[in-house]
Order: sequence, then structure tokens, then C-alpha cells
Amino acid sequence: MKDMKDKIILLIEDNPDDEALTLRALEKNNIKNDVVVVHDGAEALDYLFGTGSYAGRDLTVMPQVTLLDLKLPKVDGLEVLRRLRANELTRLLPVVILTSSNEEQDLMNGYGLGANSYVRKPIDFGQFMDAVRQLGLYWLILNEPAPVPKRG
Amino acid sequence: MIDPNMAMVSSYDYRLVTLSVVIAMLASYAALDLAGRTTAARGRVRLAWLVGGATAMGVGIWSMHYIGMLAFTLPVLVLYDWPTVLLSLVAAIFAAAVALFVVSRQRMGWLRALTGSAIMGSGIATMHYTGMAAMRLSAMCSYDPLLLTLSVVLAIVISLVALWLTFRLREDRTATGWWKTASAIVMGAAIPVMHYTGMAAARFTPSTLIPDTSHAVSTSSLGIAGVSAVTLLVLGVAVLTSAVDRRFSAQSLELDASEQRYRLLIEGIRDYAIFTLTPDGHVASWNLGAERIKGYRAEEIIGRHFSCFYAEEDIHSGKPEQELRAAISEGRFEDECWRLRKDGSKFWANVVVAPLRDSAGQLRGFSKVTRDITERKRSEQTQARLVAILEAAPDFIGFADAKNTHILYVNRAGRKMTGLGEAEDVTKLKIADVHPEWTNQMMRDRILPAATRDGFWAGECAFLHRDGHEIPVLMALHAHKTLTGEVEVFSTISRNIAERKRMEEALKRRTMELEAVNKELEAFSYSVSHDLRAPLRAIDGFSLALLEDCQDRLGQEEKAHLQRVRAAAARMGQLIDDMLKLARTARCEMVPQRVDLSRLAQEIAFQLQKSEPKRQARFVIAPGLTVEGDRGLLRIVLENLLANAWKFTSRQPDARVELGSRWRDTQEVYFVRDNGVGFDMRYADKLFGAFQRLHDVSEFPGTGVGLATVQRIIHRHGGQVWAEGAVGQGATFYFILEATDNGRGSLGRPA
Repeated sequence: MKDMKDKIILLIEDNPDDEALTLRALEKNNIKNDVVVVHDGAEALDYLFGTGSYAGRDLTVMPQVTLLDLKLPKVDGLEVLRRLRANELTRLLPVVILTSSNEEQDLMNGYGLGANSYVRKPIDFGQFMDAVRQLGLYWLILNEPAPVPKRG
Repeated sequence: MIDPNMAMVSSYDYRLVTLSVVIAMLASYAALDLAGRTTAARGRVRLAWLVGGATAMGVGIWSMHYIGMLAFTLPVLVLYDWPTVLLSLVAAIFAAAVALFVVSRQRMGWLRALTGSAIMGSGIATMHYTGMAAMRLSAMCSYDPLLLTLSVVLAIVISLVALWLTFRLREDRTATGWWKTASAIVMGAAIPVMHYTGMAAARFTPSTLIPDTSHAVSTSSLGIAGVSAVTLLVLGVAVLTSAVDRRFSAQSLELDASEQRYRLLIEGIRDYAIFTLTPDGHVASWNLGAERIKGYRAEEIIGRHFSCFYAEEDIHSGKPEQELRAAISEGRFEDECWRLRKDGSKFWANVVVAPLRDSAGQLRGFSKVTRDITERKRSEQTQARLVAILEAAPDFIGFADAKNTHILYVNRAGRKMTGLGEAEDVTKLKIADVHPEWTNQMMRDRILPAATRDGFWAGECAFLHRDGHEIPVLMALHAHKTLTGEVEVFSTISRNIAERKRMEEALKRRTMELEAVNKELEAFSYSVSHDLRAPLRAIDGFSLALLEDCQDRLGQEEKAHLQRVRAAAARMGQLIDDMLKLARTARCEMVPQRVDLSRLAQEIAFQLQKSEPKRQARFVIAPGLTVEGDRGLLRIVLENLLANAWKFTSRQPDARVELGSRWRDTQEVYFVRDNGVGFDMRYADKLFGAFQRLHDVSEFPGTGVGLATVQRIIHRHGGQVWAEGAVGQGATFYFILEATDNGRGSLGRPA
């Protein structure tokens, strides 16, 4: 088992308020893992595939869990998920959709494209913190992810 | 005394014997001939032939006998008693009459033949021996019984043979037939045999008795010649008459046969009433067709006046007589009119009357030929009505020759549609003249081949108006085929769908507009769902962060302010969620099915009880309330109504919430009733508006979207919802699904 520090959390979130609150919730819940924050879909894909500003990144390091917002600039969350699942490298990465909406179409599309989980952000911050705590517990500690494939 | 054993010596004059034989043969020939005529004749003519024939034959036989007697010479003077001679002639004629009567019958059995020949033979024998008795001479006449008997037997046998021969030959029309001649010779030879046998039986012995000669006459050569001549004359006339009559009779038979053929022909015609009238209008003949058409049998109508075929008013106006007069003056009269049958029913008749004249031009009567053309008349009327209907129809109706595509008929609506004149001759036009080019191509390539193959084509097509504009139509095209399967005529019924097309276009445009609006709405609600909540989360999150991080620096009042900010954010979040739910109830797809409302209500009541276990409330739910509708949406309806009832009875110590139904006319009305705080009926119309509330939030929590959602769902089911209540006396919410009584849309159509 890797060190908790190796278990990176990828947070894909364009709203700085939500970013701050999520980070606060992680911190308040004593989740010390590295959190990589990207602010739009394109950046997220660059990070995951080692392209653009993330060219040359060590692709053997992959997030233990990805927290994906759906409404994102440039490339939206569902498209990010689709491209992720289409790539051999990221096909099996655990992705949790963390978003405001509970529209039926979002739920259907999210699971349809292979989301591992779908969590609606509650307005009440107390409830939000509780949700983040449970996510950390489950995905970072309880869940055993698929091994990261060797490149080449 | 004269010795009776001393017979007189007698001798024959052989010339006269020969003459007698010849006469016998001639008489036989005449007999054969006359038998044929007598058989052919009928009624009085037959009687005349019988009497005349019998006379001729009788005279012939008698004269043979008489000449035979004269050929017999005795040494004494022989005189004849003429009354007795006449009597013998009568006997001869009687015998001949019996013979003719027997052979001219239709059939001749053995019994009749034997009886006839016995009578005839006896007659001839009587004639012979009566003739002998007429002799007046000075001698005694005695007979040898053996020869006498033999002569009588011979007479009967010869008669039998003669009857048999004549019966066989009577129908033989060929006057010179060999058979007839041979028979005549045989018969002619046989008769003298009997005579001379009879003569041989007689024995004359001299007597001294003076014969009674008061009526006696002498014979002389002149007498012989006279008798022979008269006989020959009588026989000749008889044979000649017979020959002449035979010829005419043959012709008249021919005529009879032909007349009979025509009679049978006319009598057998069933489709025409053919009958004749006397000059004064009485029925004289009647055929089968007349019986069939008019209903009278021949025997009940012949002799009656023909006016009985006319209606009462026609008889009064003198129509029957007028027709006869017209027939006389014009030579022929034809008419179509109503006529009466025997049972009083009417039929539409075609009548032709013609006068019948004989060769002298004299009026002998009338021929009438009547046809029952009621069916034709009816079909003409039906056709006229059908044409009237076609003319009145609002659609284009027409038909055209399938071979040369020439139009045969177009109704009024069709003329108007294509701009043709009311009186214009459409038969000059072809199908292609009333269609635009693109449909003509369609006609050639698809429509007509399909109609020819399937007998029918239906689809959208177009006509071309004179002024060049096109009229879109829904066309039904039929191919009318002959018995051999050849297409004869194409007919069409086409409905102008210009208006429908326009409406369809408008509808399509509106649908597209609506779809666009709907898309926008969806995008809007999606954006609401995503974007409106994020700031609230920030407000709440940072308020809480402030409360946590600056706990020491904030006073009680500041903390209370921040709590209010947080509560407002939470409430805003609830409002957004409820609003989205309301929007969703309007958008989501409905799946109609049987829904058990009672069971749903039980489940919801159970949930409500569980959420506040301390509350004492009684749910009264009528069992078996089933409706047709969308289960998910109806669940939302009951959830809202029952939760409301639960909420507004919270201060009631014996809270009671009821679900039931009652009938209003044919409609089942469902209701949810509570004994809670109720409401003021003045604000009843505000109950179902979104975000409308009749109570303070602090009093009873809520967003005011629940009843709006209920109403939206009920409307989507085509139903209605309304409420009754009073402040402090509870509230009742009624709803019906599929409001059939006021003609609202059926289930599944959004309200």
C-alpha cells in the first residue's frame, strides 16, 4: 500500500468558491493527500494524459480518485469522462462526479459514461463536509483501485 | 208338278264377270283412298268423307254384285223386284260405312277389327242374299248350306283382310303407291270370289208359281251399261276428290304445322307479353310472357276487355281506346307508362300496339307487345340520383377512359376545383390536362401502374386550375376492370387538402417554435439546477467558515446574523429544488397504467408516521381506489396532498386524514380531507399558484410549490383539481382524472 501522500486527489473544479470550500472540507476532515486542482476540462485532460502544460509528467502517477464537476469551461465534465474512459491509460481510474445538479439526464449520462459514483453537493456546508469525509474514507482508504498500467 | 230335283241349267256371261271383277278392284282402290282421307279429316268434314266414301264404296260393291248377277243367265226370264234391290244397295252402303268408320279410327285392336269385319262381312252377305231375293223368276231358289256358310265366312275373312290392309295403308299419301294398288287388286279379286261362291250355293229349280212381279223390272244391256257408268262415275269422282283433297290437305297440314310452330314460339316467350285483341279490344290470345308479366292465366283473361290492364284514371281519360285509334291511324303505337297487374300492383311498361289486317285490308284485331321495364326505369332513377349525389359532393369526383385517358365525367366540385365551366364538354380533355406536370409524371410512373396492378391507389396528388395554381388533394383512384380483367375506366375521388396543408404547415411551424422554447426552458432549468445553487453553497459555506474561524471575535448578534444568512440560503436552495421538481412534472414522459391510489396512500401515510412517530393522527383510506395514470406523477400528487393534510393537522389533538371517492354523475371524484386549520375560501383560487402561500412560514413550513405541482400533474392527466374549506374547519382537496364530462383531452395529453 502506498503512502497516503502518494494517493493524489484530482479536483476538477472551475468555481473558486467551491474549490476553496472543497479544500477546506478536506482539510477539516484531516485528509492530507496531495490535491491537484485543475480549473477546466482541457487542463484536466492535459494533466491525465501528460500533454500541454503537463507534458513530460510521470504518467505512472495517477490520482487515487478524481472529483469531477460537470459544468466546466472549454471541455465539460461529461466529455472529460468520455475521453478518460476511451484511453487505455485512464480507462479504469475511479471518477466521482461531484456537482450541484441532480438532473436525471446528468445522472444517466454520468453513469452511462462510466462514472464510479455520483454525489450532489449539498448547500448546507455541514452536510458538504460530511459528504467529503465519507468520500475520502471510501475512495482513499477502503477502495482498492485497479493497478496503473505500465506505459509502453 | 215340276220336279224339284231337276235343276235349271245356268251359265255366265264372262264379259260381265270380268266387268264385275274390275269394278270390285276399283271399288277397293277407292275404299283404300277414302279411308286415308277420312282419317285425315276432322269434325263435320270427317262425317262428310265417311258418308260420301261409304256411298261410293257401297255403290261399287253393290254394282259389282249386280253386274255379277246379270252375268248369270237362266233359261227363264228373270225380273228384279226393285225395292229389294234398293234394300241390298243400302246394306252395301252400311257395310262400307262400318268399314270406313273402323279403319279411320286412331287405333284398331283385334277386337275392333274382328267386330268390324264381322259386321262388314255380314252386311255384304246381307246385300248379296237380299239381291238374290230380289230375283223374280219362274223357279224355286234353294241353297246348298255348305256353300252358303262358306260364302258368309269368306265375306267376313275378306272384310278382315280388307280392313287390315286399309288400316295399314290409310296414311300412305303417295296415291300411286304399289302397295295400295296391289292391295286393291287382292281385295278386288277377293270380293267376287265371295259373290260367286254365294251364287254357286244357289240352286234354281223350275216352278209353276207365278212370281209377284208388281214391282219387278227387267234388265237390259242398256241397264248394265247405265249401272256400270254410274258406278265408274261415282268411284271416279270419289278418287278424284280424294286426290284433290289430299293435295290441299297436305298444304293445309304444312300450314297447320308452321302456324303451330309460330304459336309455340310466341306462347313460349317469357320476357315479352305478346297477345292479340279483337277489333273491339277483347283479349283473343295470350302468351307465357303475358301471364308472367301481367299475372293473368290465358283462360281467365281471354275474352275480357283489355282496359283492365290500365289504371283507373287512364280508363277514365279514355287512354285504352286512344291507343287503338292511334295504332289504326299511325299503323303502330308505342308508349311507356304505368300498367296494372292482376294483383293491382303497377309496373312500368313499354307497349307497342299494331293493327292486324287480313289480305283484303279488313281490321281483324290488334297485336300488343308489352315489356316490363320497371327495373330499367328504377335503375335509370337510381342513376339519376347517384349523379345528383356526385354533383352535390364537395370532393372532385370523375372518371376517365383507361385506354386513351380521355375524361368522361367530372362533377361540379371537380369543375370548380379545376376552373372548368359548368357546361363545358369535359370529354375533350385528357387526365393530363387537369394535373400539373409533376403529378402527370407521377401518374404515368406510379399511380396508374399501381392502380392497374392493385385496382386501387390512394395518396397525395394535385390538380391544376385553369389559372395555373395547384390544388393539393388526397386522391383515391380506382381501376374499373372488365370481366376479362382489362382496365376500362379510372375513377377518382379527391379531397382538396389545401386548408389542411396550410394548417399542417402552421402546426409544424408552431411545433418547431415550441420545441425551440422547450429546449431553451430545459437549458434554463439545467442552468438553474447547476448555477443557482453554487452561490448558495458559497454563502452558506463561508458563513459557516466565518462562524468557525472567528468564533472568538464575533458577538452573539453577529453570530445570529450569520445564522439568518445560512437559513436564507437553505430556504433558497429548497425553493430551487421545488421549482425544478415542478418543472420536471411538466416535462417528464407519462406512462399510463392502472394505479392503486389506496395502496400508494397507505405507503405515504406510513412514511409520514415514521417521520414523526410522536404524532397521533388517524389515516382513513378507502380501499380499492384504482385509476388510469402515471404512477410516479400520481405518487407526487398524493405525497403533496397527504403531506399537506399531515402538516396542517399538526396542532389538532385528534388529527384525521381521509382519502376517499364519491360519484358525480358518471365521474368518480377522489378527495383528501383533513380536520386541520383549513383555509379561507376567499383565497381558494390562490391555492394552486406557484409560490402562493396562505400561511406564514414560521407557522407551517413550505415553499408554496406543492399544490402547483399537484395541479400541473392533474391537468396533464386531463383532469381537474379544486378545494373546499373554512378556517379552523379543515380542508378537502378534490380531483378527477380524465375529465370526460367537459370534453377535456384524454389521458397523456399535457394540459
